[in-house]
This record gives sequence, C-alpha cells and structure tokens, in this order.
Amino acid sequence: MRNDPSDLSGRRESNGIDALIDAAARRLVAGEPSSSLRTSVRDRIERRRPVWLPVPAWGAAFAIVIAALIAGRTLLDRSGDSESVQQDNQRAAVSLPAVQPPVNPGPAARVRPAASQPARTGARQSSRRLADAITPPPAEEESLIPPLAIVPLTTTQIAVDTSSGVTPIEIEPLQIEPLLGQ
Amino acid sequence: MPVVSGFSRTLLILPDPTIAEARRSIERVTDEELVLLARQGDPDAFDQLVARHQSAVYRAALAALRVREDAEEVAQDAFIRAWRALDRFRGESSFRTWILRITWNRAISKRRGLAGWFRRATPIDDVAEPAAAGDGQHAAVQNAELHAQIVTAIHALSPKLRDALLLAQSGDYQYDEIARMLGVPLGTVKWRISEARRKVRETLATLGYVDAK
Repeated sequence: MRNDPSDLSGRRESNGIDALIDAAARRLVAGEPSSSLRTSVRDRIERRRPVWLPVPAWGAAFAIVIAALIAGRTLLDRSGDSESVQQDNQRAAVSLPAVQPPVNPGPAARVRPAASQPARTGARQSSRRLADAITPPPAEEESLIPPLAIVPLTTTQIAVDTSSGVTPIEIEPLQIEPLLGQ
Repeated sequence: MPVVSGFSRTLLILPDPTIAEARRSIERVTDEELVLLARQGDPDAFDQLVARHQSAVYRAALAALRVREDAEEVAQDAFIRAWRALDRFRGESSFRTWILRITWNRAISKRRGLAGWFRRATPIDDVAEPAAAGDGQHAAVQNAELHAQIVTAIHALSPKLRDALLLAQSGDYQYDEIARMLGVPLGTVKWRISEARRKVRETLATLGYVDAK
C-alpha cells in the first residue's frame, strides 16, 4: 500500500491540531481542588454526625409514643363501646322477662311453644320463627308490658343435729331487687 | 504517641508506632476496607477516601461546569451525599466509579440551573498564556490566538461531545470509567471524543487556521 505524500502531511497536520486540541482541553480541566475541600467535607461530616445519629432515635421514640397514645385511645374507645354494649345487654336482660314472663304471659309475648309446631316444618321454619321470636316489640307495645313482679325467695330452717358440736349456719333471707336500667 | 486515626486503630496493627508508619499503613488499606469502616461511622476512614479521590471528583465536576468555584461546591456536595448514602453502596462497582457517578449527576443538575448557565456564559478561568518576549514573539502571539480559538471552539461544542473530550483529557479516567459516568457504551464515548476533535478542526479550518483538507 502506497502512502500519498500529501495525505501524509495532511495527517501529520491533523495530528498536530489534535494535539493542540487535546492540550487546550487538558488545560480547561487542569488544577487541583483547594485544600479547603477536604476539611470542609470533614467538618460537615463531623458536624452532622452528632445531630444526624440521635435524630432517628428521637424520631423513633417520638413515633412510638404517638403510636402508643393512639392505640391506647382506640382501646379506651373500644372498651367504652363494649361497656355501653354491656349496659344495653343489661337493659335487655331486664326487659326480656317482661317480654316473656314465665308466670303471667303478657299480651306482648310472641314466643310460640316449639312443641306445638309439627316436626315436619323443618329447621328453616324453626330458625325463621326463632328470629321472629327475638324481634324486639314495637315501641307502642312496650307500654303494654306489665312490670315484672319478683317474689322474694324464702328460706326454711333445716334441722341440724347439734350434738356433734357444729353450730348451724344462719342464712338471712335474700333481698332481691329488680335491676333498673340507667 | 503517634496520631493514629480511628480506622487505623481498628484495622491495623502497627509494629512500630510512628506517624510515618501509620501513614504507610493507611495507604495499604483498600477502598473497600475504608468503605466498610466508614459505614460503621468512622469519619477518618471516609476522610481518607476523600483524600484519595478528591482530584478526580473535582475534575469531573470542572469538566461539566467549567467554573472552579462551582466544581468545588459540587465535589463537596458529592462527598457529603456519598457519606450519607454509604449504606446503599452495594459494592457492585468501585467506590471511585460510584463517587464519580454521584459527582457527575450533581454537576449536570447544577449545569441545568439558570444561574450556572449564566456564569458559564462568561468563563473567566481560561486565560491564554502570555506571549513570550524576544524573537519568537510573533509565533507566540499566533499560538495564543490559536489556543484561544480552540478553547472557543471547544466551548461551542454540544455538551455531549464537550463532556467526553474534557473528561478524556483530564487524565484521570479511563474510557470505560467515562462510559460508566456518562451512562453510555464505551464505543459511544470513543466516537464522541473523535467527533469533538473533528468539529473543532472544522471550526479552525473555517477561520483559516488550518487547511480545510
């Protein structure tokens, strides 16, 4: 392969220009950072460290306290709800015998004796009747429910043989008062 | 008592406790070991990493920004960010590649800022060497003029071509490092450098400094 002399000189010139271009580019990015760069980085790291490390710890502690407060508040709310539910249940327990008085069934008693129903009605009908039975009475019927009369329990003295030295236990008669709703 | 930094105390056993020996020992510690110690919160280990790579980091920022104050600010910011992000450094690349990548990203973000653009529009850093007095004064003046035209032509290059040329000429990076920094293939880096030279030659030929052929 023959080299054209004019081509060679052109390449030489091109290489020379490229060298100048490279030298100019090199000068544009020449130099060292100032000595303050390293010390500045060091200072910022040292300054940041004592602040930076405890901040997550304090932040985590604060977050835990906040979460505990929220959880406690929620639990208190739930227990309050359950107390009110219990109170409702107590009210219902008081009113339920009025709905189904064992001695003197009132007009609002809606429970039909299951024995009177034929057995062929099936479980579905029974459950439907049961659902109907526990349906609370309408508000206008509540006024018709007679108050529950509770007869105090009576106790009888049991004859005990005192010859053995055992003194008989005296039992006072129980005083039962009907529960009143709040 | 010799002054031995934290990572030296934890990592090295110095048979002769002198400062010179401690320095030699520090130089033997690899970047990976320094990163491990820095991760545990040892500022001395990170300081050593800064000392090792500050020149490369600074020149990468300078190649992107061309203003020394901006480059120094970005270099400092890059090191601080690296310190904070050490836990996320997975060691898939070297620390040097990682910090250069952080630096380049920060420098490009800053370059996109309007204030930075305005400052670079009036570069003050590149001053032609004064012409030498004597017989060769005429030639020196011509060289200074040519140099100034080359610098102007380099500044006029597109950012992609100029970045590749300046990074390559900084002398701090291999072509594959530049490729990782810029996030492009190695062949693209080589092409950009070659194309940058060709464009500058073309500009000089238009001005009559070199033969257009």
